[in-house]
Amino acid sequence: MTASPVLRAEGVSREFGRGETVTKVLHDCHLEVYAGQTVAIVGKSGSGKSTFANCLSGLDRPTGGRITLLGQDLAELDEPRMARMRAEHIGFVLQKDNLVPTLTLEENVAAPLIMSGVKLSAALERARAALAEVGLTHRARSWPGQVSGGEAQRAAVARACVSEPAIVFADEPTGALDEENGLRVQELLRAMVKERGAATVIITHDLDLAAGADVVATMTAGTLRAAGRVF
Amino acid sequence: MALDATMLVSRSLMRSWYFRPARLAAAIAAGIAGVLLTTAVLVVYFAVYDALRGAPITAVRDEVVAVEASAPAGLAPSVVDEVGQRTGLPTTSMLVVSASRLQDDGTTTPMLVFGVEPELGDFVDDDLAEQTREHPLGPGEVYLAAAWADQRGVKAGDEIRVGGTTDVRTWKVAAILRGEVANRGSVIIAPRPVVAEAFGRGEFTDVVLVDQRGQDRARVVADATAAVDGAAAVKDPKDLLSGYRKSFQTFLTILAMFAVIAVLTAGVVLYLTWRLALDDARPALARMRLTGVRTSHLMAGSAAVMVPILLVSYAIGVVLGVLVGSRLDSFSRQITDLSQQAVTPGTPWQLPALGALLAVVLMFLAAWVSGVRRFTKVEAIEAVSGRGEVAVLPGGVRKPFLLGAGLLVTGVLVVLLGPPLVQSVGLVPLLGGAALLSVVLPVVIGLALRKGEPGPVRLAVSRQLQLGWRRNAALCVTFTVSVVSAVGMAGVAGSIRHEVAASVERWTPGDLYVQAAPLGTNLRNETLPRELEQELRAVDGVEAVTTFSFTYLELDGRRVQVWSWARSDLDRLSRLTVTEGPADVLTLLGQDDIAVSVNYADAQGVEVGDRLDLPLPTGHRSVTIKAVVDDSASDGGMLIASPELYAELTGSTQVYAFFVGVGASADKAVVRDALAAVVSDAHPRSRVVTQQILRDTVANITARLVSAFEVFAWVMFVLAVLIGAASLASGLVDRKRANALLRLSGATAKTVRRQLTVEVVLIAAGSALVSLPVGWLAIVALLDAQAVQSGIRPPVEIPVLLSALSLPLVIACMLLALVIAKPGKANTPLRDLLAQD
Repeated sequence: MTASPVLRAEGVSREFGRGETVTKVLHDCHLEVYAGQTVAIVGKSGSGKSTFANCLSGLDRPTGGRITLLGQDLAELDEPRMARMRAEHIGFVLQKDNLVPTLTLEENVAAPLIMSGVKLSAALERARAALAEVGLTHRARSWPGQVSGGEAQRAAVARACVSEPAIVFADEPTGALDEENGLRVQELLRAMVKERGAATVIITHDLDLAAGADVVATMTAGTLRAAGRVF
Repeated sequence: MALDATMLVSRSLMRSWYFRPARLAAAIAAGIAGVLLTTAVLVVYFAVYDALRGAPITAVRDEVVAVEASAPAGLAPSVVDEVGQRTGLPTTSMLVVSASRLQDDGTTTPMLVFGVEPELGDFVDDDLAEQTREHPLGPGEVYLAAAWADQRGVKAGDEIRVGGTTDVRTWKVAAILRGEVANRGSVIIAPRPVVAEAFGRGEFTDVVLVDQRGQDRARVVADATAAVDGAAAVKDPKDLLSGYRKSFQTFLTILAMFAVIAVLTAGVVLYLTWRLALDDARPALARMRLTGVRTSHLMAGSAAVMVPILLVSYAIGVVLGVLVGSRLDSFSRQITDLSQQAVTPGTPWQLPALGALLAVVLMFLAAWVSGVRRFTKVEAIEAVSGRGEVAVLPGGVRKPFLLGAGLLVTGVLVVLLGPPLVQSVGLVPLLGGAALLSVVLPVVIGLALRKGEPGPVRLAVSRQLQLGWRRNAALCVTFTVSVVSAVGMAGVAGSIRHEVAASVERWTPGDLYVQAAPLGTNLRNETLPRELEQELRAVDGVEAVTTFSFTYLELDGRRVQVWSWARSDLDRLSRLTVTEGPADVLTLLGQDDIAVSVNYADAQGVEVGDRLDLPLPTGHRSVTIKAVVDDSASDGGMLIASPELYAELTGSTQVYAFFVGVGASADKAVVRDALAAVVSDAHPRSRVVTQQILRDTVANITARLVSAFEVFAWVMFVLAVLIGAASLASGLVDRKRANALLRLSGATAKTVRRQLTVEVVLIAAGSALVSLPVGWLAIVALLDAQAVQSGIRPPVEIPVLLSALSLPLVIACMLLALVIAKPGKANTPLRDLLAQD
């Protein structure tokens, strides 16, 4: 039996600028990501991997091709529906500065639930549980400015997973951390995603991080290679 | 090397603002507005001050002692002789008359007419003496000053028409004297007999000059003082015609208060805007620390960047300020008309420009020093950790809230319960408490909103209000200070205007008024003969006539108005109410008693039974205050004298105006035409005006003055709000990433927009909640402050329109700022919003 992919990218391209100054960053990229699968997109700086991830997650709009997430063509989603998609089905972990500085850690983690209409008290309860999973119970009511970079990144992992999303995008999630913290974040992300059966797309140039993925796709000058289902 | 590092810091800061044009625009706009306000107010202040100060007589030699009559009649010949005999020195006497130059197009120009004796040449500087010798005055000839004549193209040989007491005189210009001579050149110098005849002055004298000739000045002054026996003031020639310096203090006081408030508002706005600009540069500065930049480099570099902003703001602001200030010169013109001293002030831009420079430099230094203090805390580690960019909850709101509330309560108690002259002190804690509470209130609102089960918008708003307090403080304080200032000043202006209008109504129940000259241009020397009363009574439809006269006399160094009504028909033509003393006091007054207005009694601290020493042409007389009447129309208050005492003071039985009551069955328009026909032939400048025109004109003299304050209040308010909006717009740009992170968690652009809208509405509402009541209380405190000089204590009038519009206007400007900033623009890719700076 072949399950439907959570995410499918078909012939995705992305250009910036106009006329003579146009720059083609992505060329005809294809990718399928299935539930529970971890896909690592690796490549050198400037190869286009982050641009591709932005397009896959709906943060950016490709200039060519088609992306479907949970069977929905992202190009057909208006802004409110895309926002709902992010709140309910997508988790994000950025390289750094993930958290809204004017919300506590538990409020940051609860944010996707609140945006989905969950009552604050219930959302905070689930957020605290997620923070406990990443070992930050004692930091639940701290402000982002009061925690370390590693703790902030773990809180971001908790936020990405709290709404039990279908897919989590992690753009260089360990890039701003030391080795020890990086490994911890990496393990937590993997464990939480696996527990929830979500798919993961990791953008990284860290080969150790990529080594744990089910699929490793290499982005070279805007072209994706060796992508596809391997199990 | 140090210079290079400083340059590097400057370039970095300049570029960081270049990439944040909204912040730069806000800083420059705040600077321009601050300088504009300060300059404009100072221009008006100095123009009025100049008008009141009077223009000195510049040509009299220093070795001359001047004796200036205090009574409007001048000095009797016997007193002038006594001065000569007691001092044993040569003297010369002069008449000084305020008059209007009439032009063919019907316009008039106030001038001073000097009636001089041939001996005057011995008392003036050599240059002027030489000129007068070269061009002796022939019959019907006068001198003019070049400073005045050249500007108007008047030459020797031309004719000049002047309104005399009862008719128009035409004189020939014998010569144009070099320089100003006196009164900034707005003078006509004519032989004394000509002036005495034209203005009905008889043998009286206004000024006696005594040539000191090497004698001991103190002795000369003492002899002259003894000779005049209270009828005149002995002074330096440069202090001649300076009696108005202590008059019209209400307007000067209000202007001074307004100048302080304008500078304060502009200062707060500038300080907060510039400090925010420096705060924004903090991340860049932290990164520069990594390269070894020292605090001294940060200080010098930031100064090097801000000085051009300061200079640009100043250059534009001062030009606009002078233009706005000069457009509002109706202040000084009205003062000129009111004081009848025939001084036409110009636009004194130098001192205001200097004052504005001083103010803007002080504001800049305050902002910069405050920023510098923060620079010393900028650590290189911030560049790595980024912690300096993250909001931190303030230590707690309890202490500042209690302090603010305490200050506010203290201010309220002082203003509402304090005795007169102490109430104004309450303004200080009132403003301090309001500013502090306006900063704390949004935090308190934020805490309250967090209670319960807030949705995404409420949660984000509550946290932003709590943690964004530092940036919000700039907006809150700006709004609060501007609303308090604007409402306070508008309230003061409105309260005084209504009080004056109510006063005018009380003494103008008559239907028609026969004036010697058009309202607003008739100087007190243009009068009508008392005998005209019988002719006016004979006009069909006229049922009551009384005469009204007014003049000024010098009392304790200040000019005080003296009013006088004839006793006839007063029950029909006056409704002045007596607050202390006999109700029919106007008919009871004799030569030894007077009534005073309530604002005179208040300002001078006198009451019924007290005695005043009035100057007469021959000496002085002690008179008793018989009553206090409810009137505030005259600045600083007035005295009411009986017709007999008035004639003694002025040496004239001429009247200023006739008040006429028309029978109920008569047509007022017909009666008006008939009255005009009676007087117009013999008195071509006379006018018959209706009650409404008279009330509007008299009340409007004050009303226009105070209305200009109201305009200023509005301008200041709108400027402050716009600057606040610009500051908000630039601040929102800085929150781009935080808003994008919310959208990453599933918030829609609409949710973010709603959040920002609710935030600014709450901030504005919080400020209004504090500042409106404080503004209303400020009216009481400001009125108390001006009462020190004017004695006017009107009922407080709340500026309803400004109060009602202040909150919607603030919110509208905030929403405009949101539109400008477009922080939640739906079609902006999140990729761009999340991009690092």
